Amino acid sequence: MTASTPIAEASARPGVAPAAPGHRVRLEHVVMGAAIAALVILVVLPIAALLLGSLVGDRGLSLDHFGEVLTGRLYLTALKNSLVLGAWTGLFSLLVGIVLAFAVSRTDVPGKRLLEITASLSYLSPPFLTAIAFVYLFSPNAGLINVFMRDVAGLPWATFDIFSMTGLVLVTALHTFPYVYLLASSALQSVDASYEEAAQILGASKLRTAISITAPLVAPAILSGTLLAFVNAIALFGSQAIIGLPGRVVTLPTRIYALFDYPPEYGLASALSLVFVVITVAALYLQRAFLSRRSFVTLAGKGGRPQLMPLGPWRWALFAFGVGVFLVAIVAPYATLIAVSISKSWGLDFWKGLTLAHYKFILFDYNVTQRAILNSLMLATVAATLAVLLGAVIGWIDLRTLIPGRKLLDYASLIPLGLPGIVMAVALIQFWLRMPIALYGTLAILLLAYVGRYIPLSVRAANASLRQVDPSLEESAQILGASWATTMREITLPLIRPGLFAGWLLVFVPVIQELSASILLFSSGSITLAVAVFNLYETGYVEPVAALAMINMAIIGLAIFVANKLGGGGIAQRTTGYGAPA
Amino acid sequence: MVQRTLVLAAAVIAAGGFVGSAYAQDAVDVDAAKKEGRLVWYTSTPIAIGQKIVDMFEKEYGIKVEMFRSGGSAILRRFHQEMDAGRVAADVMTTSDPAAAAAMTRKGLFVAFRPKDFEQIPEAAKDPQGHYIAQRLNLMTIYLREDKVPPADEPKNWSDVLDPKYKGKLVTTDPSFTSLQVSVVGMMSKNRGWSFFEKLRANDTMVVQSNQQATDMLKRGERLIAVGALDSYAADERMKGHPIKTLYPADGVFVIPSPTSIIKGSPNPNAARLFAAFMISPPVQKLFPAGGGYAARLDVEPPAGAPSLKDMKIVPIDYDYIEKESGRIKRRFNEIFQ
Amino acid sequence: MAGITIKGLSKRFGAGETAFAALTDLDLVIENNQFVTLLGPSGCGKTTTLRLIAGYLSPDAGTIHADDRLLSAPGSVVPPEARGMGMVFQNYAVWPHKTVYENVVFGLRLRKVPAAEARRKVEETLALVNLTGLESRFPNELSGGQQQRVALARSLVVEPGILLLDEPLSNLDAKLRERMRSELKQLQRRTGITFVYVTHDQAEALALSDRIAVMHGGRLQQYGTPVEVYSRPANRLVADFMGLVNLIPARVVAAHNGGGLVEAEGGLRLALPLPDGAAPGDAVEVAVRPENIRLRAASGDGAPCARITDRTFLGNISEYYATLPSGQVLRVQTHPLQQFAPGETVTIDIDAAQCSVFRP
Repeated sequence: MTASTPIAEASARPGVAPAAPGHRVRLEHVVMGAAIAALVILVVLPIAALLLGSLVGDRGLSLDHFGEVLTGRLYLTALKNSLVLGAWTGLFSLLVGIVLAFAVSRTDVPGKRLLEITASLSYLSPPFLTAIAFVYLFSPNAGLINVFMRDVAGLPWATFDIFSMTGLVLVTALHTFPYVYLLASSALQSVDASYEEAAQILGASKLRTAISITAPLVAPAILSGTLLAFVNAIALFGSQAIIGLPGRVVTLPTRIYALFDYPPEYGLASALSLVFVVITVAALYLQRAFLSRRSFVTLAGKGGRPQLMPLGPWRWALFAFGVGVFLVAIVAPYATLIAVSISKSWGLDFWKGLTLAHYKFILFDYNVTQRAILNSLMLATVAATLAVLLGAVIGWIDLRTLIPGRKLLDYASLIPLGLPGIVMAVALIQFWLRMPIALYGTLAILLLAYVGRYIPLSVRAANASLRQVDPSLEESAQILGASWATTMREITLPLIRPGLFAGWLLVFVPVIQELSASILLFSSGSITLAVAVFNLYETGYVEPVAALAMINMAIIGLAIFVANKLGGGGIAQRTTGYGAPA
Repeated sequence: MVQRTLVLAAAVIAAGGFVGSAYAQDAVDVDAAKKEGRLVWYTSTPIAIGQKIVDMFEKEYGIKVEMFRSGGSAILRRFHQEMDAGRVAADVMTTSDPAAAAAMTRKGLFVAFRPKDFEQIPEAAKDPQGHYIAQRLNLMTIYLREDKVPPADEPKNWSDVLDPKYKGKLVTTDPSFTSLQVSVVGMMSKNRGWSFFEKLRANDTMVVQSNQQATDMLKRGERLIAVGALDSYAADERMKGHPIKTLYPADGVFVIPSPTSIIKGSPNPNAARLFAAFMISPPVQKLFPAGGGYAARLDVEPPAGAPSLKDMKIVPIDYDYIEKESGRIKRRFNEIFQ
Repeated sequence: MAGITIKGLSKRFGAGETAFAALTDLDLVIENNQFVTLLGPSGCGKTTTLRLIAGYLSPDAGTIHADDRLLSAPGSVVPPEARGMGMVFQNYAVWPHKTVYENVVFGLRLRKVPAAEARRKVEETLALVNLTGLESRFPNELSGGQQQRVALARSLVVEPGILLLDEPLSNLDAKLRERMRSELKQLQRRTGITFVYVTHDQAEALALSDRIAVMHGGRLQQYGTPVEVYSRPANRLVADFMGLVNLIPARVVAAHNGGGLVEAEGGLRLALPLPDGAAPGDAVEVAVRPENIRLRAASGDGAPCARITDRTFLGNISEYYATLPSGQVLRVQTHPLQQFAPGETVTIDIDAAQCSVFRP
């Protein structure tokens, strides 16, 4: 041992540790306890209140509410309509999604970027805005396209009544096909090319290979995407109210909403909500089962990316299909909304009445919309931040500790996936009406709803990021003497920051456009952007609705832009991957 | 409640007669109101007029008004839910459901308040103690696209709309959303039986949530005739240049007041009183005829080009019946149309 | 510097049916200033032991003391950050978002060492591990070996009494591994820090350690110097793990005072030390390493014969498969210049002094 080395001095003070251990309460236990408590308050207790509320009737505990819900004509019709809507939407999502996914992943179709953008935008575009736009395009007598077909083109049979189940399916599928698209294309891209090459070398044709090798490999992912489309489709309140109600197509969300007519039928609403949950959970259970089957087939070896199939002239047909989807899902609705928003009074000569007055009205004159915009920005920011922090802690507990029941915590954080927005709202109302604190109608209850609903997204995002960080990176800080808080601040959080940022946007974007839960929970002071849009539409002020819709999209667009700048792109894709129901 | 089955027209005609000082005017503490600095108003007032009232009030007193605007029934629903949840958010509420206002008065939810010019509001459109006072009067009638329905084809009375020639052309509103419609559907079904609505349904009548939506359907030509809808929206669109014509059915129109009340125990009681008093002041009242509707005050002229209420046949409304039956009325209506 | 005393240490993972005993009843004394290696195949409990010493895990039973300080007992564990140890991880765990300098200075900053002194110490430590000049690089700009040194420097700069190393060389290529091996050894000698080193590579263990703890199935099999565990393995598992070994089934013919005579099938007789209590007639296994068997041309002097069945030239040695008349195949390593052809019959000499006898 030479005296010149710094290590030599160590002998003077062996094993100096920077902090003395103690039996005081440690910060990590407080933080973890708080996270667990938050999850219980956000998710577990409201569900318990929902269950209790469905069982408590005039005669104490009984199954009367379930009896009525499962035999009453109004409820059975709603149930049937929801299932029909979900099934058809799932089917259309499957067809559109699979064709686009195949085109992008496996063929030489031109304009792939456009097709990808179509899928992302379709997913991000709030379905209630698409619904409003489609009312202008396809309302049976006055819809622009119907008028054109009937009066200009002379093709009355080519008109389309949007106020119908078919219309509802169309509008909904435009929002849900990206679930199939994204799961299918990621599966198609991750199938090891060697599987297919092995079949080809044995003499199988391309078609034969596609049917007997590729299809079975990607089928679980596609089915899983279809089920996600189903689950999301039946949960969308906005489009079902805007298109379904005038067409007398009442579904579970709109029926539950109607049960809140004064005097509210809390018991029936709770029972119907639980029936809704059963359907959603069953579908999600199947989805998980399919997805887990996927894992062993697609996580393959080191084979190259699959070859692209040359389609010859057919690629233009496929391209045309993609462009068609783009036009129907994106261009048509937004062009319509823009046109309405800048027309003085829709229905009069369009070119004579161009104006920005409606933008001025909602941004500067009408205090409800001003309040709504500010509320939504504030709620989305706070909810996303809370959800991400909570998600990080829950993810950390799951991955980094040996606390008993940590898996349970992880599952609890996934429960909201099975809760349609309106059900979440019913559960929160049931719970907080029983509490001594009057939260109903405050911004706080909306915040609870949002954090609760989107906690699965932030937990998944945090979980995925934490998995990228080897525990030894934290352990090596710890052994050097860093406390838990220091380790988090210096090592873990900086390393998962990009993931947390993505998670933040993952929550921010849907919160900005959240309608299904907000519609039951808002009050005058806590009105939100989506509710204001719906409220204006409901009261018939079409031009300001369109203007507000554009503001809504501008905020979402800005958020995505920022996300792509700071989060490294692909936010839109990531957003879809987790698949929370609306 | 004194004589609630009354014909509003009678009151209007008798207008000159009862203006007097039978009421002791309730004072308003303006300083206290300004100290509160804000108030919350739940209302179904047409948005543009509502916002104007808010702006005028803010300009006059520097008191901020947080307006929550939706359909009358939707407003009532939210108000009741918030009461159930132990939260009084609204200071002042304006809906178009006099039956509900009377019921809530009896439950003691409102403050008795008789502001300046209380006597200028017709008896039938207010509570004698001032628990509710009409903000405006609503003419519920039939209107249509005059460019698409030839004069010869215009319905002359309510039952004409059941004629199959109007199939697929009619639109009406949902009483579960629009409180005005509760009174209309209630009286139509009481006087004519529910078969009227069953036939309306058979005539493929579209049901929309709000009066504004019904007008919107006409504007865009989606439907051509609005049955039992608020005339002031038609008048408003007419002023913007839309070819919409109001009809006055021979068997009578409905005239329904929009009562304004101060909520008992609300956070800003003084500002609420000031606002309620402001509501029936001449500048506010004149906003309604300017927007095509009828003011509540007897001394404000009807909208330009529209007949005076005096000259119309008005269907009497039995508010006791409506109050008792309103839940059933909404439910039955929905059962028929869904 | 510090010694570690482990008593009755046990650790199980999971619960109920899936429970798995990672470590059972470990007693181990690691002397101050020693280089001790925990050696064994994956799943043997060596990493669990290391993580118990570090404080990442809490034991189900037993205690760990550093000198006289109780570090771990069931339900009462001094957390890692308060143990004053250092640890080098298999994947180095160099923080990718910090430069080399920031990585190394981290522990000093936690100890509130004044900036100037910290800078001096970091520079000295980086010099010690030959990284001078790379202070402002990020880890992704470094080679594996350089990252390894950063990890070392980061642990050494805080002058720990005990340094834990979890397979630190396993991710390096063969050449670099050898060089780092000798550097590590020198470093330990120079600093006098107690090294606890985990590896599954017996050559590494033999080369580096003062003492080796051979583990298998969560239990300590043998604890001794490299020479002891190599040439006097405590049992068949250790013998097998420490290098190539021939196991010859045999029967005790005579036994006396720790020595005796055994006979394998086919008449091969060996006089060698026997385990306690071995009695004539007992079945045993004789373990003999390939380098302790010599081959020579068939001589007919009564020594056992075998036939060469396969030959592999490995450069510095030649390896033969020699089949005894009983059918038993022996692996034999010889000097590469000694050449026999497959099919040739040879005479074999077994160095009985280097053999071990186990009960099967």
